[in-house]
Amino acid sequence: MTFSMEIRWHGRGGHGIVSASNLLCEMAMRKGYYGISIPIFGAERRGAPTKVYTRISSRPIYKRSEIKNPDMVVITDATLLHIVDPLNGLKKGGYVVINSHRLGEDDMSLLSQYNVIPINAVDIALKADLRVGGIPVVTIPLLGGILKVIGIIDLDTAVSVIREKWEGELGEKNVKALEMAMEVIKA
Amino acid sequence: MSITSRVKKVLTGNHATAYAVMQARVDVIPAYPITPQTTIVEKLDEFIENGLLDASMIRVESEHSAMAAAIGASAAGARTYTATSSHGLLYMYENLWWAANARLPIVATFVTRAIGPPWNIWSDHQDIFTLRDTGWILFMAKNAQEAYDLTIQAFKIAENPNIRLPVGVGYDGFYTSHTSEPVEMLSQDEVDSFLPDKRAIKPLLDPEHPYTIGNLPDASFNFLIRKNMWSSMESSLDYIRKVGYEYYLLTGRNYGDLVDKYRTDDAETIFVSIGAMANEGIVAVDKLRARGVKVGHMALRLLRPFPTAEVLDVLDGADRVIVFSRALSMGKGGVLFTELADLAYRYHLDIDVYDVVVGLSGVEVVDNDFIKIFRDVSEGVFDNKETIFLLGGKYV
Repeated sequence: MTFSMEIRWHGRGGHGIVSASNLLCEMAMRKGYYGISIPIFGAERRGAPTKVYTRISSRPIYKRSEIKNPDMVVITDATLLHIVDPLNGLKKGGYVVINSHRLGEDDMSLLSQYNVIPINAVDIALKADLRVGGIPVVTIPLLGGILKVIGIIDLDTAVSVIREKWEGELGEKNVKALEMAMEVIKA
Repeated sequence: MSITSRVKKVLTGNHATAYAVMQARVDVIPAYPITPQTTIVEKLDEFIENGLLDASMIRVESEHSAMAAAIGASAAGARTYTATSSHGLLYMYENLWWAANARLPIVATFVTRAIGPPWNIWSDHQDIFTLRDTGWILFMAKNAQEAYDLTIQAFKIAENPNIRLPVGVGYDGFYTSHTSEPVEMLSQDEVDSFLPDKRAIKPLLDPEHPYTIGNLPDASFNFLIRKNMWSSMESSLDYIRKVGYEYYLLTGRNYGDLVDKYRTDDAETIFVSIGAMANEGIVAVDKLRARGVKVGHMALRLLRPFPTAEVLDVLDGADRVIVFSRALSMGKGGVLFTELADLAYRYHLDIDVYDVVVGLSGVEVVDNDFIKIFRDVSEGVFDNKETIFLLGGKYV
């Protein structure tokens, strides 16, 4: 059976969407899939809108151009909904994995035609004490949501990749945030 | 991490290159940072700091000095590496010629990036093509795996005593340099036995036998220096093939064929491109083949010396070649086009060669660009006398 998924990440400089996308590819590779993570660089600075594309497939991946019609978009900050049009081109019935911190009622109506996976990533990151430079790391809880949707990567594989990337206490905080997110979605 | 056994990791093109350079156990790295090259040298610095690489990192004040230091180190017999892009490459330029004429086996990475003004950090191939006539052996990788593989091979080719030419490995800024994808790396033992003993590099400078180099000789002497380089370039093709097949036996990845062929065997139309856009060309071929159209794609992985025999072999049986250039010779046409058109003339090929310029200044090239050009050329919208410019799916 062939599997293929195109994911577009919308974040802000400093959120770590490039690292998270790379991590997702590493996890997919461990399960025998191909993955490619394509960051879009301009004049980067903290807080400015940023974009990354992830392709995962059971077949070798050649394309490294822009993803215009993603199967999933990941949004690290709900305020981006009104700034960069992150839903543009998202396939009908596509998935929106979104940080629900600051996600308003009106925003939900924007998302009504999609499969929405809201995750309070700020809350989870703070509970897991997962912060870099004082800022909660929202991408790891969101990664929990992504893993849940795509279904090809088990928790054990994800955890071992995270522990290789960050040793010791920081690794455990990342693991905790990921597990908490996956629990929340299960409920 | 020292690589004790073969390992597959998700890496950017730049980090894959840095691992290859580390495993090649280089002695000296003079470098100056420039986007999108920077993360190669940063990673190498990290390897040196962590004790994984025993090399001298020379922090110079400019790219001109980076290549000057590389020339000095290589002339003293050290295995020498540097990397640059765009304006950095241009600032280095006269010394790049010096390195070639002095027959120094330096290996360098050229992460392609457009040349300003206006300021631009994205990829096109204008920078690397300024090296076309220097005497550097030039590769162009289409992904991170090729960047890694070709960097390992580059040291072996450069240091062959019958070749003794600098080797450059190019790939696209961001599309390859910063994109992360699975890369299989060889074990350190495998690299050690694949590469020659670096102590065998015959130093150009020898304190026991002092002599001057770069003096003012008779003009015909200079002529012969260039003619001898030409002969070494020509004969290097056989050795580059040999190294490529040796690498193929080791890894299962074929570099001996010199060109990267995709479904070209029975193709009537051949797309030709280089670097990252070749991936889109391959996707376009699959889409057109699904409609029963006989097309193929050839990536020119080796730019200099030009692999004439291999290219002729691919073109045999085809009646049309569509050449995609990401660099433009003002007042002439696509830079890659002339390379193919010249063959058609010299070898009396009954083949139409089309000249398409795409992706300048980092404008994205996608599979649909190849498909659109194929359709319009097939319908006779263009003839092969004109240079076609395609930007974002529209002719300009």
